Amino acid sequence: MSEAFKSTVDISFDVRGGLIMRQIHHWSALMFTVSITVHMFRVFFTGAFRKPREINWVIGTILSLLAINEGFTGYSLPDDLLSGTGLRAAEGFMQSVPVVGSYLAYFVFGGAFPGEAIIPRLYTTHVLLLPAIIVGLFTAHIVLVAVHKHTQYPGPGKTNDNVVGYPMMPVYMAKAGGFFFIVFGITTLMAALVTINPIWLYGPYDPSPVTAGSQPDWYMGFADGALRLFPGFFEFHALGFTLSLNVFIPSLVVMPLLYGIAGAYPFIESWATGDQREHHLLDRPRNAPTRTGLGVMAISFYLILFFAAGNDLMAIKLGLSINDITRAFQIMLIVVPPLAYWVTKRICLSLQRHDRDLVLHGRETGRIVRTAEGSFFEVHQPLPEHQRWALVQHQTEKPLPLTATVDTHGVRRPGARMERLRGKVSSFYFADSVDPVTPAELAAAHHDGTAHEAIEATQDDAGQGWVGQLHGGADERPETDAYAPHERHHEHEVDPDSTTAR
Amino acid sequence: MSNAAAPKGAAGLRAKDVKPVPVKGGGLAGWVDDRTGAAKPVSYLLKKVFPDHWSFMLGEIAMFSLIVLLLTGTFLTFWFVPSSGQVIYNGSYVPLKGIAMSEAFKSTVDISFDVRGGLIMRQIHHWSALMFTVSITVHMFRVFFTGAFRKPREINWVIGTRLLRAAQGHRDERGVQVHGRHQL
Repeated sequence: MSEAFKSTVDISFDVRGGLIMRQIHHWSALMFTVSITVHMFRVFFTGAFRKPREINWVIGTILSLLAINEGFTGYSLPDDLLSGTGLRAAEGFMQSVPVVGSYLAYFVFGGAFPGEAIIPRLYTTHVLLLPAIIVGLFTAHIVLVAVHKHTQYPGPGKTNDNVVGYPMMPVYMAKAGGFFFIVFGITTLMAALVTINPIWLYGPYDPSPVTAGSQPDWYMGFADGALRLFPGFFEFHALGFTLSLNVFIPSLVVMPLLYGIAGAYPFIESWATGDQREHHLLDRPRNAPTRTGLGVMAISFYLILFFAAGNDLMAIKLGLSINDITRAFQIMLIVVPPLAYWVTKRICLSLQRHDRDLVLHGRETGRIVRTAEGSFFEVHQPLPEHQRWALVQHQTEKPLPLTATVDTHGVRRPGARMERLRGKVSSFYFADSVDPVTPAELAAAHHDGTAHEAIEATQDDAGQGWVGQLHGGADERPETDAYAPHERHHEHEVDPDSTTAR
Repeated sequence: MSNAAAPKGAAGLRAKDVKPVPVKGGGLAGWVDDRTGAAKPVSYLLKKVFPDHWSFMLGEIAMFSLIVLLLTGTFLTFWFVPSSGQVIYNGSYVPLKGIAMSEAFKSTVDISFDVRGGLIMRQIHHWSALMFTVSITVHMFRVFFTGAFRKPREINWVIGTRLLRAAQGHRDERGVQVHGRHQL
């Protein structure tokens, strides 16, 4: 066996504490990539990437890309049968680069595969080069967080100009310090209890055995899945060269492409909104329905690629045809993401309308009251101010107006086409935005102001007084559209920015 | 700051939210400054004044040697094998053919004779190691004899002496802790 494999077996069985260290190292690599990914979701869905944090978002996407490559170089080091199979795949990816592929593979591997050069080179990359870049970028990431100050979720007293929270000393120092030990402890517990990458079972790498059911670590799954789903007819022969685009695109283009789109997103969104302001208050995901929809769309795309990497295992375990499974994944990859976008956006819009309902009509108490006339209604309790604020504090963007393509003389205006495109993208984002309840609307909803008190006070003027209390009750609303009257008030009668009741 | 004219309550909080941010000029630099506040520290650095004297170059030579060491050293890590496992040499340097040696030594000979640019990298690496330690030493003389170690620079003097110790105790090609004289 290679010395790399032997030393890894020695670390596992003959070095004191070696196995637990290996296990903690591998488990924390998985924790690292998982937490980076979920952290990215949080930043994306709350809009924390907006000005002035775009640079930090870009640094974050680069860090995420570096982290998964650091993981790949790391699990390739033991030179066991599984990791060697992964390296063999990587060699194939390099060879698929048009024209220079074989030279590239020879250059990286120092000759024909596998050779003896690749493990030492990966080792240097893994312990020196990538960690240096990662630590450097991470430092910049943290320094920028300090420069920008932390974003905060909206709430009473929290504005775009302040930061509400705990001081570093002693509260946050204790919280973060304690949290480090919790993470370390749970990682160690997993490492102590659950075997990971038992290379002694796989045996040393030998190019001749082909391992069935080889799977990369989870974070490389999406790239493997892309490779399995990409149709084979993208391989061409031209001018004496074979262009294996069926391998080149999914293995070497998809990953930088997806990360490139992720990195560019803040700039796309700010272009569409025309928003030049700084944002330190986070969005609730429902209040940015299009962004949230796009995010879920991207996640569904990623997950389908991820699960497609297990198509062989699914075929074996479920007794299905691998071709059928692959075709199903191919169709899903095209159909599911737009569907996920649409469903998510509708859910967000519904949740926003629900928020409007809560603010305008209060919480359903479950108390049914019968009036003197014999009609029934359910008592609604207005939200406490602190709860209401969280539902009304945000601002909705409006689509940018479509501009004329020609000036008054009928001559095409320069840049008009770009402006129209921008208007269309903006309309895609915000055409169906739901506005938060304005103070004017709230006042209008309670236009009989003292009715609440009147109801409590006396039953005599009930006919007049009930109206205020009846909000949300059967008497007041048309059966077809529970919210219609207030929507109409808002669009045609009430200036949303007015703070005075009609 | 007077709050007399500001609206109260929720309206006041919201009024601040919609406050337009003054756009700074300067194209790309302005864009970056908007997001990092880098203009101040960068301009502070660029305007920093350095007294001019030839003896201040000694420390610079040490710093630049360190950078050269890091660059060439990184190159060498790609071919050097840190192992005392025994192998039989069969490379292109004829006098050593068929001789048993450690992988560390073999890989160093390989770097010298079989890796493209390997010998010049090894030589640059070693020469700059000597430049590094010489310039540190003479830099220390300068600092000592001019009294540059006095308050408030005592801590930096102590850091400097530790740096010299660390530079001398670098590891050789066999991964053994050595002092300069014993290096290959």
